[in-house]
Amino acid sequence: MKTGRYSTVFFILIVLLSFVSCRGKQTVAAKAADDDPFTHYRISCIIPHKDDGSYWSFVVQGLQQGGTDFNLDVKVYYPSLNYDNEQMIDLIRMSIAAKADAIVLPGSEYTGYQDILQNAKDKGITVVLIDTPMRNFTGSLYVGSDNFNAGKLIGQKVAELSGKKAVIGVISGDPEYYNLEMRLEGLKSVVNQHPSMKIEEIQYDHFDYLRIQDIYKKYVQNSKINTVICLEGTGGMAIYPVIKQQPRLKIIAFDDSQEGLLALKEHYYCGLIVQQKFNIGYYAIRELNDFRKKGRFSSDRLITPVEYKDAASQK
Amino acid sequence: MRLPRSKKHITMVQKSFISLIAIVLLSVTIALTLSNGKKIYHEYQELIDSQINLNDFSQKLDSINSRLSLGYMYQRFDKMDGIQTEIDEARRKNVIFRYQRTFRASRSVVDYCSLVDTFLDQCEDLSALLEKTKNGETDVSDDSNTQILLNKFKEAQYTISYIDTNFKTVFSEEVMMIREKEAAIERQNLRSWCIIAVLFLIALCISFFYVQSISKTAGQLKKLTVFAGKIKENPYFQGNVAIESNDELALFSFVFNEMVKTIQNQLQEIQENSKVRDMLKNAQIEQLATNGALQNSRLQLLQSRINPHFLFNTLNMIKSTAAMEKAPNTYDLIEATADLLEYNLANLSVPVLLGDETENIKNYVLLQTRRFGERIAFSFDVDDDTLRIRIPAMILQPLVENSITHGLKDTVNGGRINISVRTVNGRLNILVKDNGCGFDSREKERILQECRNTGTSSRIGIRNVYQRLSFFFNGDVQPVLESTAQETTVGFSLPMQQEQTAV
Repeated sequence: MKTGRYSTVFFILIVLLSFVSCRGKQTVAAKAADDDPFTHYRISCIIPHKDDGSYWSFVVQGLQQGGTDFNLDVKVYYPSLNYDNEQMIDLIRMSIAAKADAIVLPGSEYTGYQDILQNAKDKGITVVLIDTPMRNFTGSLYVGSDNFNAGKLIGQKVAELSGKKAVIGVISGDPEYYNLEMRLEGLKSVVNQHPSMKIEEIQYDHFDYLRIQDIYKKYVQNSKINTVICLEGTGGMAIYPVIKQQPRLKIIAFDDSQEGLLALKEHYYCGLIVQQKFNIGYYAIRELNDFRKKGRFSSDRLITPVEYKDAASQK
Repeated sequence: MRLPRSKKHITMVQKSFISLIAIVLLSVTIALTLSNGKKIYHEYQELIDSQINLNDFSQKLDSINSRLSLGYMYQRFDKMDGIQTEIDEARRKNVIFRYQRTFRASRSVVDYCSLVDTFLDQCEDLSALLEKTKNGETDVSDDSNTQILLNKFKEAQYTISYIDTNFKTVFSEEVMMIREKEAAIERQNLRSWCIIAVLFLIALCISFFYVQSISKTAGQLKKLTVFAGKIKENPYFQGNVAIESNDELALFSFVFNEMVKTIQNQLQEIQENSKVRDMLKNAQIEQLATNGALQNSRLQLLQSRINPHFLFNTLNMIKSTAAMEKAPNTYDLIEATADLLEYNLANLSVPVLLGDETENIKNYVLLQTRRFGERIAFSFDVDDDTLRIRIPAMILQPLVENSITHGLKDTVNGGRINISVRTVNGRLNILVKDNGCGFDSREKERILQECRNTGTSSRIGIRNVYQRLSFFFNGDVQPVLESTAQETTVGFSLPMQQEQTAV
């Protein structure tokens, strides 16, 4: 019996040893051997803002998840300086030179932007605009919110909150971003309907924290202004650290950043306009996958809904 | 033959089979380890080659760009000579690099190859345009041509800057992959050493296992040999040889023990049979010794009294004298005595025909008739069929003498003795009947007891006859002792046996 047990243990040891000798870490080459990367559908995503957990981080997550789900080669590029149009154009140029199959990026009205995208289209590269459409650039797909209606929604909420008597200070990002301009148009369309509501001042922060806080302080000091509207996400993030010292104004901001949600919870903000960040990125890749198969998009606009969140809805 | 079921057996054949499989698996393990190591090293070499190629490739692109820049910016068209060949060579290197990275290229590598393609296309365009410019073959105005050249040169410079940027990434990836591969080689080496160490341990275990197994087998064989030696010295040695192994040797020891038991049982049976035979033989020898002693004593008695031959010759001489003196009665008596003496002397140790025995008893009867006269009358009742039957000599005489001595000792007149030899129910009855005093049942029992015993007896004659008949007829002798008021019968019932040849 003893000999038999030893024999069994000995035999198992040898078999295990054989397996160990067979075992090898799966190499990158083995993983990639499923298909040739040179034949992959390559998508260059040019995102204006680095991954810092804000709005664009969620958009990027959606893009990458789409790449995984649809087995598409998604690569995300960021400019060294957030929202730097020249660097964005340089990244577009590089993607064209690298013969990417598609470029996903937010639109901009910056000079040369449209030309370089047209150049990409001319070279057979599919262009998908996310978050921000462009005024005069056609033949591409836009995936994102209906910014005009989002602006209108803000206006309606301000009217509700102020009893249609509001003097508004607006903080926007950059006049070259068509989506922000559309939101402003939407806001204006509501304000114009109510004589006791007016937009006192519009300031562009160029997505700069310190500038936003300066603008906010200026609005606080302006005794006429009783409401502040942030038309882009950075504004909502940047105001929160300074609002505790100067909590006088009603504030409605864009996007559900961590700071925005905290401010909402602590009743510093009246409300947030929340976009479907992840879905914007994910749908863009999904649509590209369909385009790769069918050779066309189902439509030139894929609108994702927005919702208004206030402290009550947070509970 | 099977071993007891309680044991689980691993036979030597099974052990050998397990060992064979172990050796095969160990060989496979070694082969796979070596193969794995070789594969990893091969991949490492490929990466090194790829990195070297990438470096050469990058230098080639820099060279093309330098020549192009000199051609465009400083009108050094001589530097443009052979640029197409260099571009073609760069394209070929790009294809090779791409081929080397097929199935394991990252996105950066794919982008890099595509950028190189774009750059080379742009270089070709620019170089062709510069060539035309040099030869004054442009289709547009000088200003337009200059602008076109500037744009194309700028595009090429943008692209080469992207290539440089990507080169850093690709090169970093290459270095990282090389580092990973080196780590894999380290791991493989470590694993190989571990496997070698384990294999060495296993080999030690196998050796130990076999040495132990062989030592055990040798020890057990020695035990078997010692046990066999003990059995050889003493076939009745009690004990078993105990082999603890679970292999064929244990089976063999089991069979060996069984065989020893069987042999010992058979030997015991043979010994017991031999003892019985010896006892029988001893009994026969004792009986023969008794007879011999009796006969010797008788002869010695005769010899002590008279020399038989002298007596016999003397009797013949007297018989002749009686004839010459015309004394017939004396002659008859002496003749009968002489015949009786001759019969006794001649046939003491050999079987005789029953006819001769009856003739001899007639001589005895004659003598007794002359002795006792009318006091005792003798009669014979002998079947002729029995005359050829052989019996020991001197059977009837002791019986007749016994009747005269004991039965008729007190009879004064009218005594009768009948000598009967007949076959009844397939047996031979030799009986002597008289009308004497007879004997009671106690006396009968005592006579029978004396016949069977070998001690002293008052009736030595009857006992002697009984024992000699028993020996002659292998014990198949039935004494006949019957006594009534009218008649007493003493004799023996014997088996029918013609021509018996030995006493």
